[in-house]
Amino acid sequence: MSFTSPLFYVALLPAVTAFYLLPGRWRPIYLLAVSYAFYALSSPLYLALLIVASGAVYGMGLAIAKSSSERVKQALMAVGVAAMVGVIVVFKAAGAWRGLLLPLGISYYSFKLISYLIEVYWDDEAVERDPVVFFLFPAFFPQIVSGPIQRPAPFSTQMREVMGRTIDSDQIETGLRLILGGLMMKMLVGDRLAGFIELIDQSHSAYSYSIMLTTVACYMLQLYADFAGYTNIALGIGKLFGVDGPPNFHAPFAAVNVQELWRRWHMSLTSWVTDYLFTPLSMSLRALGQVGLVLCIMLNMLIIGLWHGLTLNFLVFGVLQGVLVSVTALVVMSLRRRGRTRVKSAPDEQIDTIDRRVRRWTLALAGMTLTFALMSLTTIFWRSPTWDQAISILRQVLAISPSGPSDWSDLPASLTVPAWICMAVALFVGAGAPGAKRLVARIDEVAPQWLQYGVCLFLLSVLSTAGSGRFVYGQF
Amino acid sequence: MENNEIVSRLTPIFRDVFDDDALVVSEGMTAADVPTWDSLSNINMIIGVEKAFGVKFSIKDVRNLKNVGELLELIKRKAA
Repeated sequence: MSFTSPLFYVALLPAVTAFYLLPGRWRPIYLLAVSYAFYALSSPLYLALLIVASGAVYGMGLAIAKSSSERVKQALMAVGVAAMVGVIVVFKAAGAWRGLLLPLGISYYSFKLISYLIEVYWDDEAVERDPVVFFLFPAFFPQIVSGPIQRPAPFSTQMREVMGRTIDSDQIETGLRLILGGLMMKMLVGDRLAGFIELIDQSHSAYSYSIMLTTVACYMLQLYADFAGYTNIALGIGKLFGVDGPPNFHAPFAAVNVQELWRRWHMSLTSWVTDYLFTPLSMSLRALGQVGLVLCIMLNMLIIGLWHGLTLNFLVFGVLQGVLVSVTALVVMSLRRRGRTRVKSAPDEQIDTIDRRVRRWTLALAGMTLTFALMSLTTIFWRSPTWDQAISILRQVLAISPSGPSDWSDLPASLTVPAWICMAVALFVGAGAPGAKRLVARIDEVAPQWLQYGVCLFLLSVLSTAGSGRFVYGQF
Repeated sequence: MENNEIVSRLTPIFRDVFDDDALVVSEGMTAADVPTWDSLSNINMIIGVEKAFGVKFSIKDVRNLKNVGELLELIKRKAA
């Protein structure tokens, strides 16, 4: 059942009500049953895999915490992590090469389980002895479809807290507001951009250079609207059950370089890879200096690429990101070093004048534009279903292939005008919605809350496209 | 080794790695207090501290640090 289907919300509200009507200690059991039922609705066969994997990791966690030998702990952790990685690789390989449909949320819940094993290995006290709370952690249905990938401790702490309290109306309002905002972002903006992209990509060689440039710029904007929209819905549903999930986006289009963009994009995945792969690896390779650093970044980005699927396109995407992030890291480090010596020799340069502010803003804007362009170009590999299509689009965008005959005037205004509006909205929100707070305050002065929610719901019901529903990140 | 002494030896390392000449190191300081304290500069900080104090940290040591105060304790333990 999709988070965009009306039926889902018809079922959700009684499900939330029942949750708070139950005595505290029954709530996790009930939520586990609801989560398994949700899972069984879309993937009944693979529910067994989720339960077996959870059971195995639960046992492993207890064994790691119980053992007093560092070697045994390490061996148990390594076996557990290898087994989980093995499961992901087998399914991703079968998905990429045999067209097998992946078990729902496997890339997300397996990463949750791996993080648990490593946390317990690092600190015995991270062990979760309550089996219901533990089994609920990977299965928690608001986060199962496409994350966010929450860490074990914040989840179990919040679950315990919600067992001991009554319903909180602020929490329900925030949750509903997140869901509404997410639905609007996904269905009004993301899906409309998806329709535009799909139409152009289908026969891309027929379209002009400027249409193709716009379409490729749409890739990132559509991904953002789709995934940030989904994440807000997931966070909102979690919030209704008293669990705040981790954020996935923090104004990614305001990033001034690729390294910074990755700290603001799919954050629950990138921080996972940073904590459990990059940091341990860079500690092990720290004697190698900058060579070690580049090696770590390359491996890091390669894993992020292949996490999406074991295909040549994702591999190339990962390698390109690795090169971009490595170059950025080295340039930023050397610029900082040079900047420090210059400031030391000329301290008056630190005084902020209008000239300098203008220069700083121009540089930041140039950085944002370059970052967006580089990300859009590499996303061609991410986005294209085949290698040939990726190369063909890339050749068009880089003006190696001749421009196609169809131009903007050949496209209907009913397609292009909404697409331009959606692009502007996605870019504005994705850049941190500058000035939006002041605007909202002004709206609050003139329009009561019920009217604002009413307008949002009206827009949602009138403007949604027919094909709404599929989430891009649901396929991983 | 006294805490004051360690802090005064940490200060130039922190200022260099986190690129802030006015940075004042305190025991309660965490990564969240320093905008330039990210995964990359964190590793550089660890390398700098290891060199300056002639100690070697493990992944577990570093992972469990919650603030600068805990880093001081770790340095004392390792240098003893």
